[in-house]
Amino acid sequence: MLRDVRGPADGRSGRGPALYCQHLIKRYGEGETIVDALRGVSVSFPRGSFTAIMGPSGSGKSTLMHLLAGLDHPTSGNVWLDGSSLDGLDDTELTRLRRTRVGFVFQSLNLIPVLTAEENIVLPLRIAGEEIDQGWLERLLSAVGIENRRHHLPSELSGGQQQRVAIARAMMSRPSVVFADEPTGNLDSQTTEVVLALLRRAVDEFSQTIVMVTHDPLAAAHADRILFLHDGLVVREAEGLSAPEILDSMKTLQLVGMA
Amino acid sequence: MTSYTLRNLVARRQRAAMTAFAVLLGVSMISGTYIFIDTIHSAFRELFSDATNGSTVIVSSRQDLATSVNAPAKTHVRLVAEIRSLPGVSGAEGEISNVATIIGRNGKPIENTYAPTLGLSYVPPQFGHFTFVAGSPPTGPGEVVIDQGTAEAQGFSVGDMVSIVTDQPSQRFRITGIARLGSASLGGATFAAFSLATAQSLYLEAGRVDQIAVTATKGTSSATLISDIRPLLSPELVVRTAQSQADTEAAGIADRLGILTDGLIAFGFIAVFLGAFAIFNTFSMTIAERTGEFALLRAVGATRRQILDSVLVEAATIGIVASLLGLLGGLLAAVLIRTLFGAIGLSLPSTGITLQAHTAEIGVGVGLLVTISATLVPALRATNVAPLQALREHQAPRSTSRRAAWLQSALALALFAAGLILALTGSGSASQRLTRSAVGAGAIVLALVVVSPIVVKRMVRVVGLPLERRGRILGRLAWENTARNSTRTAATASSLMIGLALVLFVTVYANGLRASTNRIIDRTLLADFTIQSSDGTSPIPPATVQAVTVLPEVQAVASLTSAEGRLGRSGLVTADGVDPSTFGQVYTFDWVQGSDAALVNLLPGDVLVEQDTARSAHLSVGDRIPMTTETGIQSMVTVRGIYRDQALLQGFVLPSSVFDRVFHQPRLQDVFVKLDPGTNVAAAGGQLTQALRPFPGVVARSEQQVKTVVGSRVNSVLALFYALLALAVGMSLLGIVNTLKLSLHERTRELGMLRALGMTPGQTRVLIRDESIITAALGAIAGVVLGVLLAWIVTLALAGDGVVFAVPIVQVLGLLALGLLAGVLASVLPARRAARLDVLRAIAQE
Repeated sequence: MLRDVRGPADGRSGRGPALYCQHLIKRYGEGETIVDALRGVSVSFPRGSFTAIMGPSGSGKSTLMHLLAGLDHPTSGNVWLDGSSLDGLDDTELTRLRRTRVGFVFQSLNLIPVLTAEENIVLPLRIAGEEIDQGWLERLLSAVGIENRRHHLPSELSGGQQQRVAIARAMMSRPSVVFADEPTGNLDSQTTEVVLALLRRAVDEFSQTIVMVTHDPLAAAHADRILFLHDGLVVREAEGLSAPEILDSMKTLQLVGMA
Repeated sequence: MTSYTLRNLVARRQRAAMTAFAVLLGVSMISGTYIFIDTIHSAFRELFSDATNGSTVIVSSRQDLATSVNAPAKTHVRLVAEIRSLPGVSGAEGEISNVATIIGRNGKPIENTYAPTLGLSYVPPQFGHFTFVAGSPPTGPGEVVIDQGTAEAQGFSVGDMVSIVTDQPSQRFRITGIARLGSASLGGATFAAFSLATAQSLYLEAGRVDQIAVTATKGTSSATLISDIRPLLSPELVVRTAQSQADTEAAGIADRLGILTDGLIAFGFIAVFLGAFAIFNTFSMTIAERTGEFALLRAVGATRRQILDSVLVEAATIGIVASLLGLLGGLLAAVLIRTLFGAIGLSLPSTGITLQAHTAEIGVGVGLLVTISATLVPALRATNVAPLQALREHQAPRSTSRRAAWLQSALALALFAAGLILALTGSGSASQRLTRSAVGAGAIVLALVVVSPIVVKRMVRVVGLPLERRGRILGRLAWENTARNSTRTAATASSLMIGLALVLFVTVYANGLRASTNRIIDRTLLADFTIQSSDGTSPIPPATVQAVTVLPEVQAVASLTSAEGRLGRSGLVTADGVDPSTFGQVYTFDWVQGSDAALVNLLPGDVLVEQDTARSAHLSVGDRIPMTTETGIQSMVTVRGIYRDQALLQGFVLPSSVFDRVFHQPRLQDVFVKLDPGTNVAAAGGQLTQALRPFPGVVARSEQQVKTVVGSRVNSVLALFYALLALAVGMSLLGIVNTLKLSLHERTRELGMLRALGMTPGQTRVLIRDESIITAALGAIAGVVLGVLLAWIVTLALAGDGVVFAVPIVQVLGLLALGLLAGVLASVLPARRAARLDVLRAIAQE
């Protein structure tokens, strides 16, 4: 089962999109309290692309990310990561998949407080019991600019530095896709710029596929493409928008104020 | 503020329940023991007051209970006649109260350790405690009335023949009646009642009685009666109301159970003390969790005092509720303790459960006090929350300041040194030194508890090393998590440490005691066989001496008679009477001062004193001091020698000629038999057994068997202690579960993230289990070290008495394994819960 998931090709060299989904439906609850979080979403994420998913609270953007990342099972529809279906994988198989094929950057409290920056970066590989590529580790450390703080504990790092460590960790296993869930939600505007620029560089320099959930037009402006979600459906897909254009777009879609 | 406090309790009821549980268990144990003791008291009181029911006053010797060691003083029948002739007396009846062993259908004596086997004389109904179930009173020789319990258990009925051992060899009696003594169940006690004349002849008491029951005429008060009777009595006799007589007898029995019940209460307190660690942890964690809430309260105007009060009221509420539940639990515990005593062969009389006010006071008082003192530190910490902290999102992890660590270390060192000095510099008798070293040991335990948070930080790394190598990053995470809050880990491990240390201490100490008795017996006992009663407490019929002396293989026979008395300023100790001319052939003294000549030349007025008695009374050879029997007779004696023997001759020794005169009716305790040189010992043993056949309940034991019997007595007490300690260890286990659950709750988001990053449910289980194992291993290792240390200190204090120190390797390894197993067991539920964690919900949590 697991072999099927990994597919014949490596995430960065294979052909076709890194990630795509078809007719994703996610339904919560039963009877009267039924809620359709996603009502049929089909999206494709090409290799080396930087996609932002936007939408107000309750639009289904977090649910979509969880399904794409294999953190949750869809009610119907399917997700293909590197051309392999996630359908029918159990919890342990999904967990193994996440270790190596998927990277995560969360909004906050990304790091294990008792481990140093470097140990946090290699943590997923250590958990998986895999070899550490020292050269790649050094490149990442220098790319995110924390070589000098590698032996510091998270509590000794600033919020921005912590997010940079989290990005390095997400990329350490050379995953097919990095998911970033409001990665700048807790940062000031200056630090936000640094972190977003870093994500941009990951796409440009390392051809990393990134999917970022955000409600901040400034953050979304760094992406190649923006998906607007509303009420469990993708209502618009746009490329190369600037921050003001994104804001306009959201207004048009009557999404502003609900975000 | 009050409604805030109460809402908090309701909102966090699961946590409150966990805290309460620790208190509940401890209070249950303490109140259970008190209930148990009170129940026994009232049962025995009922038993004895039933036995003296109907008479107004009782004349008896000062020392009342006809037990194995102490015999009642004798009263002439002449006195009965004198009392009868007094005005105001409607009747007086002499009674015999002695020991009789009934032989069961299987030919074995019916005996029960700690429960009396009474041999009585029947008294007429107006004095009468006997309630007949069937049949009629005994009237002549060869007739007996037995107790209902024995009759039912053995299927005896009126008209049956039964064998009974009195001071005479086993004889057959016809059962004329089956009776009860009042209404209380006798427990394991049995009785055989004969006619007065029969009893007098069986116990070689012609013309004498053990006590006199007196009834008053109408209108005569018992006070008048007592003042009328008193002038007639010799000094060793007393006259008392029936009620106070019964109370005295009941108190006597309760005293004999004292060691066991004291032990139970001590364990109750230990349990509460261990519970305090769990309470401390739980409160520390809930308060840490509520830091933001406290800050908010402070920001909106609550004073420090109000915060403190709120937390303390919360603690007090938990303490009171838990203690009250603990009282209920105590009722259950009392039944359990009874069962436990029963399991080690100690069945006790029963009446309804007795719950007295002092049980409730002590139980609730202790529960409340412990809860509040364990909460005080976390509560004070809560008051230190600054209003500003409500605005800050996170808080840097608290670490103990350097100064505090120094202070802790200094305090621990001082406690440790004080404990060691106290434990090692004791003087006086063994029990005085033992008490001193126990206090010292307590100080050492406290020292370890104080210093534990500091030590834990370093220890965790060492203990976790094997896990790290095996599980790599997860092992590393496990010990880092354990070290993260060292105070919490230390408190959790401490309770396991104390539990296991006590187990080991008791084991080492008991082994040392056993080894020392074995050594004493090896060194002193020359006899090939020792004739003893099979239950170890009943006296031996004097006729046995004659029965074995006539055997051809026997070279020498010497007997040991026992009673209790005081020497100078000593406490009540065993007094033994020996025949100086023969005793040397069966026993060689281990002299501290004096020589074998002291025994040979032992004259009336001379005593030989055991080292420990000599120490407590500050005696040395040549001292002239008063000796007091328990009946109050005093005579001056001279110390001729001091010897060591905590096994056979524990108090002091005097010539039997004096002994028999001064101590009224001493009981024959041991008969030592030395065989002719070159005799086949096994064959001679068979001969002895044959010769003792008419005396069921009496056995001839080889030296090895004597040692085993002494050892097995230690064992049965040990078994009881182990059962209690298992409870204590069980409580520490709950403590680990509790701490683990709370710490997992704190780390929900972190665990969710680890799962998102690729940690499988199986790995999660391993992580949690490893954390638990590390904590348990810390407790187990510290417990073993502490236990050995304590045992070493105590045996050092008792080295002079021959108590030997040896580390029982098997038990040490067993306890370490047990500790690790405890860790694994404690982690099962929390680990399962952590593995089932809903990842999405966990990472959504802030």
